[in-house]
Amino acid sequence: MNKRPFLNSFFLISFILFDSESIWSQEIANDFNNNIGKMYVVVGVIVLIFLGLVYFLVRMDRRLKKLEKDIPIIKQ
Amino acid sequence: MKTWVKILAVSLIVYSFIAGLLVPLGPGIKKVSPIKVVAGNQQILDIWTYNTHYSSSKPTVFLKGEHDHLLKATSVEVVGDQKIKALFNFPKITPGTPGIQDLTLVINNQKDGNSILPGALFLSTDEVSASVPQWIPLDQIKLEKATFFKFPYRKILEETIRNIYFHVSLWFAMILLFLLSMIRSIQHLRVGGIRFDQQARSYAEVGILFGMMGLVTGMLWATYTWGAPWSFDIKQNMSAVALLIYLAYFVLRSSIDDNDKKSRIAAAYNIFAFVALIPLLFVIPRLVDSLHPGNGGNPALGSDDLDNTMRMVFYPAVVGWMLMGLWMANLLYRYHRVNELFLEKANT
Repeated sequence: MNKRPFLNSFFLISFILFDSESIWSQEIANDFNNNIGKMYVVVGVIVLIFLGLVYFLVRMDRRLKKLEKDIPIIKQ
Repeated sequence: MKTWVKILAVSLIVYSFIAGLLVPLGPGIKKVSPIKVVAGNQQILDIWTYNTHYSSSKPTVFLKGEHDHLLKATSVEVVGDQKIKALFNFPKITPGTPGIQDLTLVINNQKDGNSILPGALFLSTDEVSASVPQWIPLDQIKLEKATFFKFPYRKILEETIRNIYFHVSLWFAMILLFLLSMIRSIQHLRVGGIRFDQQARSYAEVGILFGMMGLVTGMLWATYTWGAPWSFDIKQNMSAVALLIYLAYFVLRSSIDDNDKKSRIAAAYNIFAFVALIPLLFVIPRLVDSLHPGNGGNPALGSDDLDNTMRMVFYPAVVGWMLMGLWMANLLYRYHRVNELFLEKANT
C-alpha cells in the first residue's frame, strides 16, 4: 500500500502545477489545464494562501502551548 | 478589536473568492492560422477561440486594418463552439499605407459580443487607396454588444487574470502592515513603553507572512505566464530583498538579550527597513525593464488590466485582506502581551 500518501500527493500536485514546458511552447498544447484557460493556476494560488493561513495557526498553536505549559493554573 | 471589523474582513474575502471565481471570463481568440496574407488573394483562416458559443449563435468575422476600415469575411464555417473557419477575399487595393499592415481580428456574435485579437495577421499590400468598397469604415458596421458581467480575456493570462484579487491584495495588505509597524516603532522611540514595540513586532510578523504568500503565489502565477517560477525579474528580486531585510529584523531581535536595548535597536532598524522597502518595491522596478505590470513602461491598474467589473471585486478584496492582516496582528499582539506579563510575574 501507499506508505507516504502525503508525500506522493505532494509530488503529484507539484508535477501538475509546475510542469509548464508544454504550455510555454509556441504551439498551444492541447492539454487539460490549457483547455480550461489555466484555471488550475488560480486554484493553486488559493491553496497556497490557505496554507499560509494554516502556517500562522500552527505557529500560534505552538506558542500558546508553550505558554500554557508554563502557567501553573492551566497545567492542572 | 471590534467584532464587526472581523466579520467585515471575512465577508469581504469570502465575497472576493466567490465573485472572483464565479464571474465568467469574456470571449477571446486564442490562435489564428495562417498569420501572413497577401492582398489580392483568397485565404481561409483557422481560428481557435475561448469561452465562445458559436454553435448556438452565428458569428460574423472582420479584419480591422488602418484608419478603422473593416473587411468582412465572405463566408464563415462553424466547426465547433470554439473553432471556426473564415474565408476572406483580400482585394488588390487596400486603404492605408503600402507595405506590411497589422490587422486586428474581430469576431462578433449576439451571445458573446466582441472577441478581439490585436496584431492577429500581417497583410502585405502594394497598392493603396483612400477608399476601397470592400473595406468598410467602422462607423458603418453594427456590432452586437454583450451585456453580462465578465472579466476581460487577455492572451497568455486567460483565467489567471483572477489571481489579481488574491496575489495583488496580499501585497497591498503587506504594505499597510509594514507602514503601521513603522508608525508603532516611531511611537516607541518617541514615547517609550513595551506595548508599542510589541505592536510593531506583531504587524511586521504578519506583514512578512503576507509578503511570503505574495511571493509564492507570484511564483506559481509566473510559471504559467512568464514561463518560469523565478525569471530574475527586477520586481521579483527586489521584493525578495525587501523580505530579507524584514527577516533580518527578527534575527536582530533574537540576537539581543536585554529587553530595553532590543526594543530600541529593533525600532530604529524597523524604520530603516520601511524606508528601504519603498524604493525596492516601487522605484527601482520602474526604472528598468520588467515583466511585471506596473513597471518599466508596463502599466498596471490601467483600463487594460483592470476594468470596472474587476474593480468591483479587487477593491473589496484589498480591504478584506488588510482587515484580515490587522486581525491576525492583533491576535499576535495579545499573545505577546500575555507572554510578557507572565514572564514579568514569574521573574518577581
